[in-house]
Amino acid sequence: MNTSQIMSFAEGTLITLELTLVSMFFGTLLGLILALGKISKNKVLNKIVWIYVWFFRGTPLLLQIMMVYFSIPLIALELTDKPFVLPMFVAGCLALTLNTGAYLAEIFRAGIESIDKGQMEAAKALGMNYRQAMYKVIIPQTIKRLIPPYSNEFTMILKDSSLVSVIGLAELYRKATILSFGNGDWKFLFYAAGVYLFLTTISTFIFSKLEKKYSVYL
Amino acid sequence: MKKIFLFVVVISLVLSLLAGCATETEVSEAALALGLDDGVLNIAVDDTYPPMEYRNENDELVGFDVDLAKALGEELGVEVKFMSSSWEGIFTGLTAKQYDVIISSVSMTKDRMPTMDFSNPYLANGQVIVVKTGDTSISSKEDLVNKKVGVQLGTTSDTASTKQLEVMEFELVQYPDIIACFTALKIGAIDCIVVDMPVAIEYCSASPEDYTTTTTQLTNEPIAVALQKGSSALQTAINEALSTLSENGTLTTISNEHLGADYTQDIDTKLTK
Repeated sequence: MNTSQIMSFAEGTLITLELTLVSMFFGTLLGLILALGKISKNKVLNKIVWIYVWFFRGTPLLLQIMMVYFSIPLIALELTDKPFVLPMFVAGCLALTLNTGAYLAEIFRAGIESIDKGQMEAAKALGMNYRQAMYKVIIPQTIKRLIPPYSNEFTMILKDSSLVSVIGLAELYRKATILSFGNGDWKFLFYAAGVYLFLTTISTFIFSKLEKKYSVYL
Repeated sequence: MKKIFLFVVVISLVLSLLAGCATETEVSEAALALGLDDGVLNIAVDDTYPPMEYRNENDELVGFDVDLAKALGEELGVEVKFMSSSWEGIFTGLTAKQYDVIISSVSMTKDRMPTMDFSNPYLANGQVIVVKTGDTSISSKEDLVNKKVGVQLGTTSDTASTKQLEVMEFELVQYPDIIACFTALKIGAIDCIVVDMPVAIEYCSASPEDYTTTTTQLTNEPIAVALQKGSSALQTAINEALSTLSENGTLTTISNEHLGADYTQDIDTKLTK
């Protein structure tokens, strides 16, 4: 590999990392909101979240990426009659965020519901309201239990970010394919596999450290 | 750890935002007259298609269409900007006005006419059949019967072969990209490939021991610039620029350089149904 090929790989790796981190950040917020919506007593809210999760878990991520990237500009064009250029990176992050939000919602809900009911009752007995009990008692206890499935989802998104290549965003996978198509040399795909493995290994390591750290308090 | 994570997220957000903000530049009158509001001719290319548009060893965008687009930009007096796009979504992107034109070996076909406008063709093209060197079993369309035929999904090779399926039986294998077709032929997974002529020339001259182009042609479908429906000012300007480039020999030079011969003159413009 020469310098410009290495640079190209580094650029692709950076975009893959950015895609993953940004999507996981917003996906976590979204997932938390959805999870709270799902366990709340409000029936309408329950239904909305159910439909959301049903859709985003029930359709392929690849399709969702295509829909986000192409439907938003097409709808905007229809409504305003002005072209609306949606940057590929934003479209990719949006699709990954919407998708991971649905999965994380289920992970968070399961985590929260796994805490014994007595905890909520005890917190209320101490005079806390629902919100206080949730944020001060229940959620902190779920963190340790959430780390393994969260780590799993993180790894999935890190790998599935390669699907964003379908709209032409030159992240790691597309960089590797572009380089190999230039001269028909498949070795770049193996290099890309190495980089993905490196990234997933690091993230798994960090999450297992975090899990140990949070175990201390329980 | 939390702080580091947050820091990384914030930095990446800022970086992506910065990347999104284009610097303000003066829009030239030439560009405005062509209906290019940002002053730049935004060109979509699927840069996985040698020798037409691909990345060389130094990761630079090169190829026939790239040289042509640069020459066009000079002729029109506007800046050109290439946008890497995947073939799957390249036409939807044009409809959604994500870029002004596609210069990416787009064949003129009747099927495509309703959704996009075309310039005059700048390169002769047809769907040719490539076989393994030494295989002489295909000398006409009819010989495709019961063969395994590879194409790139969603290309005009795909369309032409699918139409051929209406009159005869063979197994059509659709791959997401062109190199997968050639690799599949090499390892014997398929018997032949239906592909654009320039690509056939490229692969067959690069490895004559593996691939041979037969003289059989499925369709005639010259290559042109694809424009958004209704961009007539730009269409006229591009047509004028193309004829200038054809007359002053620029197209011939580009064709000789990338395809080894001149395929830009006397283009057969009669489209196959």
